[in-house]
Amino acid sequence: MDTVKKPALLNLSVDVSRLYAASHNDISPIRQIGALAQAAERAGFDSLALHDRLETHSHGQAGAQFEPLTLLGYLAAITTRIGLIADLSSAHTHPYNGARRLASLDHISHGRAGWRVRSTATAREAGNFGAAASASAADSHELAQEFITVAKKLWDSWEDDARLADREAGQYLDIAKVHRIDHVGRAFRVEGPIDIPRSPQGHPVLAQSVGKRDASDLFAQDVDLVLHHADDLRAAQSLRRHVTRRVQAAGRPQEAIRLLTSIDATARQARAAAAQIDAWQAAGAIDGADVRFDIEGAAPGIDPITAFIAQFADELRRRERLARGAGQPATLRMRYGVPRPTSRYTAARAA
Amino acid sequence: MPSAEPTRGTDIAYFQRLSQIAERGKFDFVFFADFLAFAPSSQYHVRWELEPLTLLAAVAAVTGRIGLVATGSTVFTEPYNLARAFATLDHLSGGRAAWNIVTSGAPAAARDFGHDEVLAHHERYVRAGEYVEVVKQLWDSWSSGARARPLDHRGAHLDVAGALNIPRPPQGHPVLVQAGSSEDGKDFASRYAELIFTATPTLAAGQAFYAEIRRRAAAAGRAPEALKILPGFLAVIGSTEAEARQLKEQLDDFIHPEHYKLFLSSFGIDLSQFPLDQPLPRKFADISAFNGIKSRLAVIETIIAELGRPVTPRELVRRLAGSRGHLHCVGTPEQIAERMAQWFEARAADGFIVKPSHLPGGIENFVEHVVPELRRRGIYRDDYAGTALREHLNLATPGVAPPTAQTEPKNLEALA
Repeated sequence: MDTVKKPALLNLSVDVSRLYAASHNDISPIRQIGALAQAAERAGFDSLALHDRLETHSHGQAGAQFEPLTLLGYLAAITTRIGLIADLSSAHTHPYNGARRLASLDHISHGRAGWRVRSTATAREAGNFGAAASASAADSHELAQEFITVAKKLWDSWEDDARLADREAGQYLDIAKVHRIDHVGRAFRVEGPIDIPRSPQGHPVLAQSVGKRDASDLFAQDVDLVLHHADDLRAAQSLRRHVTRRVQAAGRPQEAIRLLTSIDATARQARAAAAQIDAWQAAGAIDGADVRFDIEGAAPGIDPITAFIAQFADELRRRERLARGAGQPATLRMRYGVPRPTSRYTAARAA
Repeated sequence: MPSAEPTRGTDIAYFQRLSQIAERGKFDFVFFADFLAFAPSSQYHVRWELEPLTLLAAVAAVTGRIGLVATGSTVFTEPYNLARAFATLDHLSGGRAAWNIVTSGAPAAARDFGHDEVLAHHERYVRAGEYVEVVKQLWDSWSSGARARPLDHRGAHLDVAGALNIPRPPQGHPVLVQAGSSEDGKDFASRYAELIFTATPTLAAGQAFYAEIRRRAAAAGRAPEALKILPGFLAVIGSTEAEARQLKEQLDDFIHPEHYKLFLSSFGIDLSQFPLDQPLPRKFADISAFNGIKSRLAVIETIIAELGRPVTPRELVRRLAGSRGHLHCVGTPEQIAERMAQWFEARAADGFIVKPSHLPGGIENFVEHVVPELRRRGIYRDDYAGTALREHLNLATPGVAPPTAQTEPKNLEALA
């Protein structure tokens, strides 16, 4: 019997505005975020996710909510291994723009880009985009699904080998391998192609925070990484079953998706939290942890965060739930062990 | 071009390296053009292939002084999102961001956003004016020491309720850049732009444009030092004039025959109907009916008129392909610096967008050989005086607009 433990996959979720709200005058919030990304990378975290909102803080002490994709472009340049996941609002971004920025981030980071689709928006957010009120949950969900569909078509619009770089013939592209997508849907009409070559991961990793206990809001056809909250092991196991069922109903294998359960790092002891992750993973309920510092009432500055993640990772290593070395360079898909999609146009040609 | 690397359009290390070379040369800023939509002409002609704000954030991490100019569309981006992204770039770069304002006249981009055709030319500029005002208000909406102040903007084209969730950028506002030369474009530039990019291939054209913009800006109540006019300048450098000419020929020889037809399509101009080696008609499109990029069409017709004889599409594209209708200079570093000095002193330019003939060699040669010549003539800095792009350009930091009656009183920031 194979007793080697599978490593826990680790995401760090951060609400950047929490850092700003408590930043010291002499350490800019940008420097703090940079230091945090590097600390998480050193600790062995697989990814860093930036939580976002499209409105000012609704109460009291306001924190700067830097735009995540621009910030991640910067973090990509000062890190080498950690994945970089951006919240993206499907309600208030056009998928052509979102797809361009994420593909660019994937190129810039050599395949470490990911995104978490935010399908709902508050009424205040909607007001910043000329929308009278935010849409119903069902409509928001449908829009988000179409957004994901368009983004993926655009990411496929260049086949992997479209670029020839044939200096002799003076030809750069095999134009037959760059495709219009001609998407016509309820919310979007997009001709394409995108103007960016297919990126190292094909599609940036898609993460989703599942809100419902039965995972009925899951984008089962598309999601790679599921972030959830479970009060206890039974709840985590139940979610695993629900997610698996939905994913398989969408024609995908169970292994195509990873489940990370949240750890509220502002309220837990690092070693006890690591013990929980070890136990839940042994029970097959989860694939790792989403360590969250995007919660109300977080302590100021990054020192508590870096201390927590170091202790947490060390304890997991002690329990043989985390590799010791830095490992080989890898894309985020490789780190999470989820497959890299072929362009649908390449697949169609092969069919 | 044997030393060029055609697959480097997505290689961030390459962008970073080019930016660092330019920074070594004490350039005010770098600018990587962005067209938003795919162009079939890129089969034969590599373009930059990364979204500029994301890319420049990665460049900001490895540079410390050079300005970072990114294109943003007033048609295909939400103002709230654009304001956030530029504010973020300005914060993370220590005040080096600039926004190249484009009104999105190319038809291909429209079809990526669900529009059958572009907005009419004039309407694009009306919208752009409102858009720029909204973005500036968003940047101002959270000024230091005060709570964020909602906009409650309801305009002809845009509704934006709230304040930005990012504090006022280090520069106050990222520097505003604009590049249209049509009537509407010049009007817009005179009112809003702080850096004006233009394509003026001759000294006379340059002086005329310069004088006209200055006149319009004065009429709009703006001080002369509040805007800088920068023509594009293609520099083909050789250690002798003959060597430079040979380099130019070599570069022109690389133009693929198919590229001729597609070349101007990205500006909405269709050359494919004309035989490659037959003379073009003098006025091959009626400008007033033309809804694409008017200024570029006008430049082309100026070049044809200036040559004084009919040109074939092949000749035209060879003339344009490197310079794209900009001023170009083929010669030694001394000749190139002399030409720049001439334009500068003749009030045809406050500076230039240097377009290297090839990369990275062209920019390396410029920094190594032309920059010292400019310094010898006393028209170029030895080093950056400050950190922010506004400091390099001697542009004032904008004040915060006064509050309306509904909001709390707050201090106005002094003009630098």
